[in-house]
Amino acid sequence: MRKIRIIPRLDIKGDNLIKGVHLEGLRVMGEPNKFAKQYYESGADELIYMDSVASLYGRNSLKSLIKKAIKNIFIPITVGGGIRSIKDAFEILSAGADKIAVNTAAVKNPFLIKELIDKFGSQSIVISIEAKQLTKSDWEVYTENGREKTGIKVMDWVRKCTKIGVGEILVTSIDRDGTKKGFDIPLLKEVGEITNTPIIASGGMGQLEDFTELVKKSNIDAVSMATILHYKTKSIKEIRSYGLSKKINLREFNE
Amino acid sequence: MTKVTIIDYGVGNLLSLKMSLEFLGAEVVISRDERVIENSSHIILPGVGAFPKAMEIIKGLNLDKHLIRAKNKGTFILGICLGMQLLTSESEEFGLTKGLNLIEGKVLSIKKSNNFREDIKIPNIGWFNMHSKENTNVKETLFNNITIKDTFYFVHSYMFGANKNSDSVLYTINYSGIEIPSVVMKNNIIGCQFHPEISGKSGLKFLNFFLSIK
Repeated sequence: MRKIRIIPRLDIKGDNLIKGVHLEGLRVMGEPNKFAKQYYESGADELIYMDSVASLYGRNSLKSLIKKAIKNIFIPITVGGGIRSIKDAFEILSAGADKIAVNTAAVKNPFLIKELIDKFGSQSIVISIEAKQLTKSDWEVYTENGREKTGIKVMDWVRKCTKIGVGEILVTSIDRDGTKKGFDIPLLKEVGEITNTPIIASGGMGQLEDFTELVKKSNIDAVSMATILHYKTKSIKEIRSYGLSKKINLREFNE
Repeated sequence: MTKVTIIDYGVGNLLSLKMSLEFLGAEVVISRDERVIENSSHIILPGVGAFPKAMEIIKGLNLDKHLIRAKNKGTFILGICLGMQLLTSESEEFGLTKGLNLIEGKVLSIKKSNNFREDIKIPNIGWFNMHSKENTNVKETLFNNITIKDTFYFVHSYMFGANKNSDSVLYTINYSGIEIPSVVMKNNIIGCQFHPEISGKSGLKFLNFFLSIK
């Protein structure tokens, strides 16, 4: 049985860790790497760093932040936000990222995904999907950090990315992000049913039960959370121990 | 202080590996230079991506010759992830390609393994405990200090497919019923399928064992 991974997500603006709701608005939380190190020491399985203003500046600015992070954080780091080309991806990976996450550039040019996979290996490529509910049974893909509609249905995009051969799919519910109202389980359940690519679920975790409910009701492989951790509502240790107590298969972190 | 050379062949995230080794107090050189390799006591062959392309680059840089020479000299060589797979005889990835042949064995797709089922996700991504194989051929006891409580991070679609009697397999993991070799060793050549540089404290422990081998 797969061990579910717990992955804190850090949204970055400039030098700051920020947190928004529905992927917008921002509250400055503090120094990103300070939070990251604390999460690492508490047993985070991986970390995701998203440059939330990358599209405004036309590039990902997290290189120096990642270079510093990897000096004493020894778990996988995925970096996303504004990655548009092989060159961008190469720079981020060379700065110490283990995986890159792409959204906007991939939607605009799906061929880029194949190029990235060929160059860096599917294991290094995560497709980040920002999903907003369209109708009762459909969700729409958004780009530009939740700002731009695309007219593309999430499930069609998931199928396409699976066919291209991405290593992982990160699905963020725009509707639930930052709300602490729980995950969009119908969205995540359906994604899990149509792809066999590993899935990271994101958006909406407010209480411990949200975590276990999501895992039991869907086929996802990893859970990403931000608000609940950055505001110190719950700690990673609490999430892990609660999950284990509910018989969820998780890494046993004993340090 | 152990000096270690990370082979640079343009593939893989070398910086995390360098940082973790330096964290452990090693002196790290990233190089593809023949003389640097020749004068190294410890070499790490990293790797992420596809086997055939990596072998093409390695051969183009004559690194295959340098590594074979290093092996014969008794230099300790650690292959990580794709690096481990490159140490073997051959891989099936994108057609049959010959490897460095420093450890006997063949690399195959996880999908081709004996117990594969359609619902098993590829790549295999995540943390695993390792099970030790009792291997009387292995003299090195350092790696025996890995316990069942240690966890290591894996992300791969291909695996070392040693047969049941392979004497080079030290540890395996159980991925949904598939037994996957995770650490292999033959004299001075070691391979690990996981990424020790991003496996937290257990990974640092493993790297430290490697650095301590004399």
